[in-house]
Amino acid sequence: MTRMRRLAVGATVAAAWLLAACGSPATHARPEFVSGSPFRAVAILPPAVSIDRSRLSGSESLVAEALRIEDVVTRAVAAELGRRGYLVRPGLSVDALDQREDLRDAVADLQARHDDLLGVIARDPAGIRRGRFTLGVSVAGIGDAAGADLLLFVRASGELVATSQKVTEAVPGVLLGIGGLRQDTLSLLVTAVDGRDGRVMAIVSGGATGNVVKDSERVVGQAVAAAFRQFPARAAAGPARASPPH
Amino acid sequence: MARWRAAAVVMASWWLVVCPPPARAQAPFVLSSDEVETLGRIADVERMMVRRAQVARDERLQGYLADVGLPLVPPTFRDPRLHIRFALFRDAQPNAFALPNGSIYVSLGLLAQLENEAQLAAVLAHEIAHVTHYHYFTFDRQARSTSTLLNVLTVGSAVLGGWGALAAQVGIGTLAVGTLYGYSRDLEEEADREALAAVARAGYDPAQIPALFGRLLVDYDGTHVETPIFYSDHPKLQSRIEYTTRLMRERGLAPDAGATGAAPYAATRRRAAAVAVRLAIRDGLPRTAIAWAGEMVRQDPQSAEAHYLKAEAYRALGHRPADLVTSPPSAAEKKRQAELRQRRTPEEIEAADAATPAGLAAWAANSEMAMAEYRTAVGCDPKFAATYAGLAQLEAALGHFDAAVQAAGTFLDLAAPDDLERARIRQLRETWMAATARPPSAEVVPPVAGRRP
Repeated sequence: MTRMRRLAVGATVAAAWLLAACGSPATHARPEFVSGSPFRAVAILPPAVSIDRSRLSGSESLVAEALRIEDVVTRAVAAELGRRGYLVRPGLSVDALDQREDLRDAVADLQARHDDLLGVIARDPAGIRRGRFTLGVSVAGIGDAAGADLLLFVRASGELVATSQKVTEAVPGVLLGIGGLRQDTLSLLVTAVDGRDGRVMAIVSGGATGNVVKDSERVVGQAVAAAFRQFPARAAAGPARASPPH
Repeated sequence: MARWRAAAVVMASWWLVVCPPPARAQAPFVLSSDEVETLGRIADVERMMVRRAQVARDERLQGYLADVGLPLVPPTFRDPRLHIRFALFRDAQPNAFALPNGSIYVSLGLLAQLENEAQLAAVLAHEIAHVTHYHYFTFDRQARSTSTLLNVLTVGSAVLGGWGALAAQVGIGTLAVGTLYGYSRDLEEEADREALAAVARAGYDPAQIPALFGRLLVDYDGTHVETPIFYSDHPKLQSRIEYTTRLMRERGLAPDAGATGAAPYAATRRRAAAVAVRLAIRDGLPRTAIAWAGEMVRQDPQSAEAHYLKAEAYRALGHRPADLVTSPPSAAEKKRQAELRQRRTPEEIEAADAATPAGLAAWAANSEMAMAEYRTAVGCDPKFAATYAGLAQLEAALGHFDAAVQAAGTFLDLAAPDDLERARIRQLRETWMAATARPPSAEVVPPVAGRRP
């Protein structure tokens, strides 16, 4: 299976998971993480957001809007982490990575490995609790460079449906006595990984309804809040494992 | 009755969908306002690619692509809306694509896989043809009209009610898949024909076009899974070899009539391979990495980096056999392996391989090759730090923890202060130091291919 095919399969699985997550927040985590997070400093890797608009003439990806919303998602996740007592390090932000090419490429490689692994995790999410999944010790360099002991991978998928499309799709459902109007949605998936040894500590997901392009702050805020509902706060006396920022 | 009416709708939709597409407009190609808007949105796509680090920043390689590619643009082509430029895609898979605004991307894996400049020229000419013949817009128009038709027919068939409506929807869906992908195949063949003409005009050996497809057929890692032609974006490579060879004959183009440009291409191939090998290891393609690194070594036997990369590729191969080209796996086996990779982590697959006699034999051979290459790399340049990081991990995998600790120490002495490998090697060294205090384990599992421990 080629890398592109694997990515496509991974993306499909992740998208299915994201869609399932919409409106039904889910958490899969290692027991030691849920009982009180030992992590102190968190770095958020650049999120990957996709937004599709379905119209009668076909669907299209809203790339500029997705790029803008990636920044909104980063801010909302950082705020949520701050409320839970974590120190949020900016070392892996898009701007920071732009300044350092080796780190930028290493982060891109790590994101690709995460997306590959996500396809396997989706088939056995309970494996996270058993400690089945890891991204490997090679994350240590990135965690160290960012001064963080916890790394967050964020994926979001938005769907906007044109009114004409909603009505057209609803007609067969109404005539056959099933279904109704589709809604605009945003689904979010967050993977938490130990920044020292690469263990997957948790995956949380959540979603919100509404037009994420027109009402970005509200829709993103609701999706992030739903996903983080069961994300543990930093333990009060958690060991200081993070290296100082460089 | 409703069933018959539904069937009639399916037949009508079939006729509408498969009827010949309207002839493409001759130059100037008229773009709708939506299509002009699309050109603007492509800039966002490229911005996203840069943001996701999918674009490699290498001005020398980029300049070379422009030197080879720009003379292949038809001199008659004039469209101020499209700007033909060349860029590098950071991916191990040999691939190239054109965006509708004229940006042409070539993967580092493709540059590592090609043998000469004539083959690169063929790839670039093919992508240039996609741009200058407005293939994106042609394809998009067909796709959009089909999509609109499907929506209309979905309503129409639903009005008929009952099972007939559902059957009609299934029928339309099947037709849509065939039609959407079928048009793409026609356009790919047109681009191949244009490429053949452009390459011959530029003085390159036209026989390098079928040779190029032959290079793309090589499946070092047994990951090419046969797909029905119906779903294939590009015509099957074997059929492309046949029809481009036939075209050469029909046009009276003699093989070996032009230059291959192998010598000027060598430096480009080496430079691209230095990154592509690392990407191939990351993506679980160690045999591909061995082949490319082997070519680097052949070109420059004194290069520490080339020997180091070849050693890394052998270490990543772990418990798997090194050669799948002379004894390729069956299509069923490839499919089974692909399914396995969707269900198991690389670590789990590696552990399963390590439990077999064949896996142990493969590891003995691969680790020996890796060790020899690391030692040659040290001989070529004793100050090349990365060699010691790889050597340390190999020694540890062989259970030689004292040697692993020593090599890790050398790496930490030589590596730059901000080397991203430092934290990992420091951490691994601690575990190896602890291991030297314990009796050696009976079973040693080497690091997982494509995944650093």
